[in-house]
Order: sequence, then C-alpha cells, then structure tokens
Amino acid sequence: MKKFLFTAVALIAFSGLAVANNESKTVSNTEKLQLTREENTKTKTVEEKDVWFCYKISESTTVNDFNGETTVTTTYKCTWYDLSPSLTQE
Amino acid sequence: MKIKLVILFFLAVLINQSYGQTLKGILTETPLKGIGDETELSKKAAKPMTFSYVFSEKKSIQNLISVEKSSIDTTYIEKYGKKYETTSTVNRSSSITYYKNFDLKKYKVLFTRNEKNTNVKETLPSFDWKLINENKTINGYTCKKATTINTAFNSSQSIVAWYTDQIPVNDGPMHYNGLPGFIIQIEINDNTMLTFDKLVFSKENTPIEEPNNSAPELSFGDYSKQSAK
Repeated sequence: MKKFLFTAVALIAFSGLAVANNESKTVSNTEKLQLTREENTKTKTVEEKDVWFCYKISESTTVNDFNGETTVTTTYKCTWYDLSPSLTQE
Repeated sequence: MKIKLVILFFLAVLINQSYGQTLKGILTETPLKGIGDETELSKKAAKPMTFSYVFSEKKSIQNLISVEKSSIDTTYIEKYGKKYETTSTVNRSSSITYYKNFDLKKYKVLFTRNEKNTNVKETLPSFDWKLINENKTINGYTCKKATTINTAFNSSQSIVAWYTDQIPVNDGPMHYNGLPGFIIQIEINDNTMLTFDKLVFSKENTPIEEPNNSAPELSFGDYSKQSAK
C-alpha cells in the first residue's frame, strides 16, 4: 500500500517533467497486463527511473458458429516515460 | 381387388397422418464466458442469440432469428493528460443455419459473416453419452443429465446435456443428438448455454429442405484450410 502511494505521488510530481518517449511496444495479453499488474510494473520501473504506461488498444470477440464458444483476443500497447534525473532536472 | 387397394391406400394415408408430426421450438444461445485472452465478455458479446427450430420426418433445422451483426466500437480513456483509444470488435454472423438429416447422417452449417457466406457439409456427429443419475426441471420439462466430450470441428469441449423423455425426439441444439429423449439444454465448457424456451408439437409434417447459399459446399477440413490462408 505504501509502495502504491509512493508511486502515485511520484507519478503526479514527475508527470509534468516526465518525457514521453516515442518508443512504444505492443504486447499480447499473454502477459496479462491488468490494471493492478500495471501499477506493480510502475512501482518497479519508478525505482528504475522510468515508467511504462500500458493500455488496451483492441479487444476482438469472435463467436465460433461451429462449436458455440466465444474467443476474446486483446492487444495492449505500452508507452515508456523516462523519469531519470538528467531529464527531470531540466 | 380394386376395393382392397383403395382400403389399403386410405389405411396408408391414415397411418401416415397419425405418425406424422412436427416439433417446433425457440432456443436461446447465451455466451457466459469467453476463451482466449480474457474470460469476461463485454455487454455486446454476452448478448444472447435466438434461434427457431423445426424437427419433422427425421430432419431438423435451426435458424438464427435475432438480428445480429458485427460491430466496432471505439472508446477513449484519458491518463497523464493524453487520450488513449481502445477498439472493441464483436464478430457475429448475421445468419446461421444448422441442418441435420438423420436418414442420410448429414449435417450442415451455413452462415453469413461480414457479408461472406459459408457452407459446410459434414457427417452428422455422434456422441458417446454418459447418462448421469441427476434430474432438474427446465421450462416445465423434467430433464435428466448426460455428459460427453465434443470432439467435432476440432473441438475438445466438456458438454453437459439435459434431456427429457417426455419428448420422444432424439435431437437437440446445433449438432447435438443421440440421447434417449429431446435435449432441452446444453452447457458447453461452462462458457455457453443453449436452452429451449418453448416447444410445440403439431400433428402435420413440415417439409424441411436442405439449405444452401451462394458459397460452395465445403468439408470442415477444407473450410479450415481456406480460413487459415
């Protein structure tokens, strides 16, 4: 909980100074990047002076008319925010 | 001799009429959970589909009657002062037909999705049903439980069927059949449920024609190869 609060405060404090990199990656949902997991990832990356912000860019739901089941395919996109001191001190 | 023939003819007509019958019904297919990346379904994806059903003269046909179509929705979330876009696509067929011919052991699945027709013809699947000593009442019918594994159409699904011997028709939804009574409800892997909401018997036979559409008739194997391209 403490870690989460620290992350939230750090994020708000540095959000104005953070440099959004053009670098981005698309990951499949096999990594299961749910919101809680995303927060955990941020906690880890803040300590490493960067932040990955991930969000769902697409969700495709397809009904299989042969067997009656519905398949869900999701794709997440992550953007890297650099919070290293050299960039934040500018 | 002529009189005998006439009597025989009328007798044949009478027998045919007394044995002629049609079972008509309405069934609902309800998606409960998804498979793949996520199990939770959106409101649109979880919307039930409604089918009509007719069984007569050892043939049955199930047609989609609810209005369905594929859709694409775009939603936006705002975070860190930026707008992020999420696209949600629901792929559904606008027309679906399941046809069984028990005499010829023939099964057909026809559907139209995104204006493209599909026509698949296969041997009617048979199932190794395990009868379970469990009962429940569904829509007024006393039903018995049976289970099987569906391996048709490259599937491996745990199936629970609830059938009633109050209806002496060995058929059910989609390709399911072969139980000692009519299948009122099918549960597919706890992910989808098909239930007959209403069933009505009539004494007359109803002619059921083999359905076709503009697509060439393919086996499921050929259809899968073509879809994979």
